This record gives sequence, structure tokens and C-alpha cells, in this order.
Amino acid sequence: MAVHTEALEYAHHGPMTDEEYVEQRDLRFLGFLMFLFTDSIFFTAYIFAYLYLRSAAPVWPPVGIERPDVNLGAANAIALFGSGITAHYAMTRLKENRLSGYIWFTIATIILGILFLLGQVYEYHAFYHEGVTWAGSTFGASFFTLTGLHGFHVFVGVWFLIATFAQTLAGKYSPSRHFGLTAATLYWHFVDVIWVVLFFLFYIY
Amino acid sequence: MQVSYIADAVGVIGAIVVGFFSLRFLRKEWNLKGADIGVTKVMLTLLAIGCVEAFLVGLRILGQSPLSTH
Amino acid sequence: MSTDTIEILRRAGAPIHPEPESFVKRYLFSIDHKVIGVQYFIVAGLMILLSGLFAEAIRVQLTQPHNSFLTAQQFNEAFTFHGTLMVWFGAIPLVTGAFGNCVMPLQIGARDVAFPWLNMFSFWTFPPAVLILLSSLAFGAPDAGWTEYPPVSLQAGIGIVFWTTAVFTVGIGATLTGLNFLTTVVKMRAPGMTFTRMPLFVWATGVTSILSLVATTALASALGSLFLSHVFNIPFYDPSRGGTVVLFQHMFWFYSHPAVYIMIIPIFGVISEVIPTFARKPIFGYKLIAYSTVSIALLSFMVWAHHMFTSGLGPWVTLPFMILTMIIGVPTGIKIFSWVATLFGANMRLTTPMLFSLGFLSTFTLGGITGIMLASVPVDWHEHATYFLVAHIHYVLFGGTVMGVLSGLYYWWPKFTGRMMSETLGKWHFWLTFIFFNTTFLPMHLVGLVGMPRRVAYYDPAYHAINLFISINAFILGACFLLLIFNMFWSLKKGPAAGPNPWGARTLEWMISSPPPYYNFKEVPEVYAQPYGYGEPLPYNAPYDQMSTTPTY
Repeated sequence: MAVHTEALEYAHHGPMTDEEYVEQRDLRFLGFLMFLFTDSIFFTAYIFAYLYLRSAAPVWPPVGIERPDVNLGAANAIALFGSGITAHYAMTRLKENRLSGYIWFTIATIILGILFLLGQVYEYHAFYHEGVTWAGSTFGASFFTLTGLHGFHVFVGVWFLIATFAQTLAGKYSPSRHFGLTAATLYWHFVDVIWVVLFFLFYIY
Repeated sequence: MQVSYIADAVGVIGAIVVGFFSLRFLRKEWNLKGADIGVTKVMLTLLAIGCVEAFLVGLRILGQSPLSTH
Repeated sequence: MSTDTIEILRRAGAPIHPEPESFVKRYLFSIDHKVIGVQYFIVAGLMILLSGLFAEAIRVQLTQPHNSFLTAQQFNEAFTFHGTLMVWFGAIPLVTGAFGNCVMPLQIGARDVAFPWLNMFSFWTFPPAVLILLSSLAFGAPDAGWTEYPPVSLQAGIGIVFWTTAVFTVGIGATLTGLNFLTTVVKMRAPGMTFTRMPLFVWATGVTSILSLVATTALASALGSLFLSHVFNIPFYDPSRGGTVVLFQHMFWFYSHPAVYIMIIPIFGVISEVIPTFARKPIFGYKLIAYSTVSIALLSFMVWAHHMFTSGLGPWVTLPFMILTMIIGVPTGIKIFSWVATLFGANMRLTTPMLFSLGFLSTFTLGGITGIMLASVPVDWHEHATYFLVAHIHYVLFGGTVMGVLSGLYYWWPKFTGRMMSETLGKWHFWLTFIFFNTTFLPMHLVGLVGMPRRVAYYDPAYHAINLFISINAFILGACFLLLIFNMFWSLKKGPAAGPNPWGARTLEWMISSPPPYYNFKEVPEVYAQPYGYGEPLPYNAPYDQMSTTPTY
């Protein structure tokens, strides 16, 4: 028994072999994909609620409410979409072992993400100024719930990027072992793609 | 008014740039294998669609109906 | 030896963690799947008992048409707690958390689940959720039934906030468990174990995990919007401000219909393990059972509106939902026929787990038949929210899930404790449960058909005699569980040693000692065929091919 305990402890503390790393990475990747999938169900349910409320209303948006400014929205959306591209660039740079490229593109991603959040804050401010509130109408309810949920995801994504950025600078990731970074990039892409749908539903449709 | 025209310009030019790069990445990774690359491909495709949305909005083709019944 | 062991453990499944020394790490914050399974079993078992007490309180109230045992408010709280505790804090953690954790990794020959730390986290969302829910009793408990439909639920006090928070918290754990198990089933099977060589319980657990992953988040969004509606006065469900209450029913049932399959599909897996073991025959139609599980899961996402036939959906919605609901009867029927065909001509051994499985077959089939009746729109209009519905759900949840849980409990108890339970007491437990289950719930069909609505504290004196009869039988049915509890404690103290394989089963968990060692498998098991080939040599590599499959009980 003691032999087993010792062996296990040794196995636990020793560095992972490449084979073990690949096995761990594949497990975590699959788990992370499932997490993103189940997260997308969260959005899907609220999108269903939005469409349901919208179809139940006689006019949409309800009387006395103006839709969000689509032109500003498009510019803001481009900030987020562009950050997806820079995040992808950063990832490929790290895979090619070009750390400076990674650093600059990640900083660009984080700045674009924060810009998008500021744009959302501006949008919220304008809406509240006009009297469109969360509790005021079904439009406000679905708009603020869905974009708020998305904004929260962007907020988390920014911190995710900052955390993996710090880890990379501390030398945790290498061109062959970088699962945390892959996850952060994937999460960021996910946040982008959700906005493709929400932008269409709230600003265009 | 002025602000909205600047926003249009940002939207159109940004959409062209971002859309171009997302399609370029898609082309580069098209023949690569791997689970994470497969997912990234889907994400980039959707990103390109988002750029089309923003592009058409910037040209004032989409999103110009202030009031609709449903 | 030690380097060999490292190699073995490294190949036996990815997560390698040292055996903990301290009590806290070994039994409380353990990351070992077997310990977590037992933790789930203990907490969920206590919740089942507590929920049963609420049910008995309901029955005490209904012994008289105008009883003053509970006030109407307390009665509403009692049935709300009974339903909530049974569904989210009893049945689902038992069938996924307890059975899934204990049995599934052993059956696929893995060292542990894919993410052991996450597994511990999933469990530890559960006790806080229980505390949140129970603390609401002090602050104005939720009282709109386990479904908590608005606007009724929103007119009550702060209880709904506790309720949504508690169910949301336990839902996070359920989702993460699903994620964990699905990754485990997909990635960590022993070498040679293809999908069609997996034990059927593993199929069931994998499919259940898909259901939890897709559906539980939808519940989370429904709960979230209910929470927001109460706390921030959001008009989702307020018709005076453009909202609609039917929206909540859609979002809720999109989760809660798959949830009934989350509660029953693992039990299908348990039955598929128990029946061939005691029939001493290969299971009939392995692939049919496996694929019908998948098709039940797919169909379960397309039938949620059959809970809402009376909410004014219109015939163009109700008709397809009615047809799809009836179609679900087909894969379920395939399973029932396969199990019966396995029993055909078998030299059956009527042990306690087998008796509970046979009990499951008969009572669950009855519940399924009333389910087909309720799926038909005109019948549902007549029977909706009557005791007929209560009878139906108890035939599928008590006669299905609880019978299956008891079957699995008696079956796997020797594996995880190393001791046998008393067969005599077990048989008494089965026969008393089976008889008094039927005498409790069968008359509910009658009283429902003649028009007694559910969830009422006071009723027409015309139904007095039959309600008194139901109540008396319900008390005896509740008392039957004392036999089980006594049997468990007796077994832990005085039960005869079980040996590795007392039932003579052939799945991988029986190839190692009882209780399983910390590291599960000393050698990596390799699998050459399905586990159900009774009468053939064992399909595993050495040393597992030398295990005895002769029953020793």
C-alpha cells in the first residue's frame, strides 16, 4: 500500500510526458467545448424568450421606444469582431514562437475588448437617458438581459485574456504546450460569435 | 448626424479589413487538421458573416427600419 | 514495482492523484470518484427521506376533507418542498451523482473521471443549495408547487428568491457533472472498449450527460428570468406590461421534460445490468437498447409542450406535440420488450435486486401506459391537474426511478461496502414496498378520474373514504424504508463479507476487490467483447480473465 502511495505521489509531482500532456489537453479541450456549448444554450433560451415576447407584441419595438442606434452599433461590433482577428493572430504568433508578436496582438485584443465594453456602457447610458429601462418594457427586459449577459461574458473574457497573458509572460506556455491560451482564444471567439447573432437580432432584424 | 457618418465609415472600413483577414485565416487553415482548428474555422466563418452585417449596415442597406410590426 | 505502478497508473486513465492522508481530504473534500459517489448518495438519500416526510404531511392533511393539521399555506409549502426536494435534490443527484460516480468509471476501466477536481466542485454545490432551500422555511417558503409558474410564484414573498438560487446552484453542479461524465465516457474507456462494447449503464450515463448539458442551462435561464422578475420587477411574465406567463412554461418545460429522462435513463441502465446478471443470459437486443436510449434523448427535446396542453396553445401546436409524445413510447417499449425477452426461458435467480427490477418492469409499464393516455390532448384536458396526473408521475418516478434506485442499491451495495445486505430483510422490503406502493397510488387514478384536483388542502367529502385509504397505505409505504435503513446499518456492522463478485456478474467493476482499491485497476483492463456473454469466457486480458463468475450469495 505504501508503495502505491509513494508511486502515486511521485507520478503526481513529476513533469508530464508529452503523451500525458496530449491526453490531458484532449480531455480538457473536449470539456471546454462542452462548456461553450452549454453556455450557448443559456443565450439560446433568452433569444427564444426575446423572439417569443416580440411575436406576442402588437408592434415592435413597443410604442415610445426607439431601436438602438444601428450605425454606432455596427462600429462597436467591428471593435469586437476585430479583436477576434487580433486574438487569432496572437495565437498563431505564439505557435510560431514569436513572443513579441503575441504580446502586441494580445494587448490590441484586450484594448478592443475594453473599447467594445465602453461602447456598450455608452449605449446603456443613452437608453436610460431616453427612459428605456430594464424593468420598463419587454423590449428593455430582453435587450438589457441579453446584452448584459453578453457584456458579462466579454468582461470575463477580458480577464481570461489578461490572466493567460500574465501566464505567458511568466513562461507557462510554449509553442507545443499552450492549452490555457487556446481556451482563452476560443472563449473570445465564442463571445464574438454570440455578438454576430445578438447584433442581428437587436439592431437589424 | 456627423457622429453617425463617422460610425458608418468605421463600420464599412472595419468590416472590409476584419472580413478580409478572417477569410484569409480561413483559407490558410482550411487544409489543417485538429479539433481546435475545426472549431476555429466555424468561428471565423461566423465572424465573416458578422462583418457582412456590419458592412451592409454601414452602407445603410440593413437596419434602417425604425418601426416594424414583428 | 514502483516504476511499473507509475506506468500502469499513467496508462489506466489520465488523472493521477496521490492517496490523501488526512481525514478531511479523504472523506470530505475528496477528489476520488468513489468517495464523491458515496457523498452524493448520503446527502441525496437524506433529501429523499426529508421529502418523504413532506409527502406524509400532505397525506396526514388529506385524511380528513377539512383537516386542520396544516393551514392551506403550509400545505402549499409542503407539496412545493416535496416536489422540489424529490426532483432536484433527491432523484437527479442519486441517479447521476451517486450511481454515475460510483459505477461508471469502474465499468469503463478508468482510473477516475476526466476532471476529478471539477467533480468535487460539482458535489460541493449540492449541500449549500440544500441549506439555501431549507433556510427559506424561516423567511416565507416558496408555495407555488415545484414548477413555480408565474404569476402565482411572483405574488408570494421572498421564498421564490431562495428557491431559484438553490435550484440554480444545484443545477450548476448537475451541468458540470454532465460535462465531466460525457468527457469521461468519450475519452477514457479502457483499450478495446468500443462504443458497442460498453456496458448499458455507461450508455445510459453518457446519454443522460448529454441531456444535462443541453437542458440544465435552459432551466438556469428560466430560473434567472424568474429571479430577475421578482427582484428587479422585469416584465418578462407580466401581461400588463407586454410579457406573457406562457413563456415561463415553455422555458421551464424545455428543461423539465428532458429532466424526467435524466431521472429515468440511468435507471434503464441499472435494469439492463441487473436483469442479465440474474437471468444468467446475454441481454436481448443490446444495440436496440443502446440506440433506443439515444432516440429517447433526442425525442425528449421535442415534446415539452405536452405539459402545457391546457395553457391555450392552439391545435396546430398541440397536435404535433401529441404525436411526438406518443412516438416516445416506441423506443421505451423496445426496451421493455428487450428486458422481457431477456427473461424469457431464463433460469432466474430471484434476489432482492432482481425483484426490484421485476417490480420496476411492471409498475413502470403501467406508468408508461397512463403516460400515453395523458399525451392525448382530449384526455389531457380532462385529466390535467387532477390526481390522475399525480398517480401517473408517481408510477413513473416511484415505480420507475425509486424501484430502479433500490434495485441498483441492493446490487452495488456489496461492491462498495464489501458486505452483503440481508436477503430476507431485502425481500420483505421489496414485497411490502411493492404492495403498498400499488395500494397507495392505484386508487389515485380513480379519485383523479372522478375529478379530484391535485394540490388542494381541502376536498369534497365524497372522496373521503378513498383518500383515507390512500393515506393509511402511504404511511405504511413510508415505514417500509425503515427496513432498508436498518438493513444498511446491519450490513455495515454484521453483514457477511461479499468477495469481489457475489452476483457472478461480468462487467468490469466486479473484476476487482470489494470495496474497490483506491487506484481501481492494478493492470489496465483490455476489452475484447461485450460484457453480457454469459456462458462464454470473460472478454478481458489477464488477470481479469481468470475471475470467477459463479454466484456466491
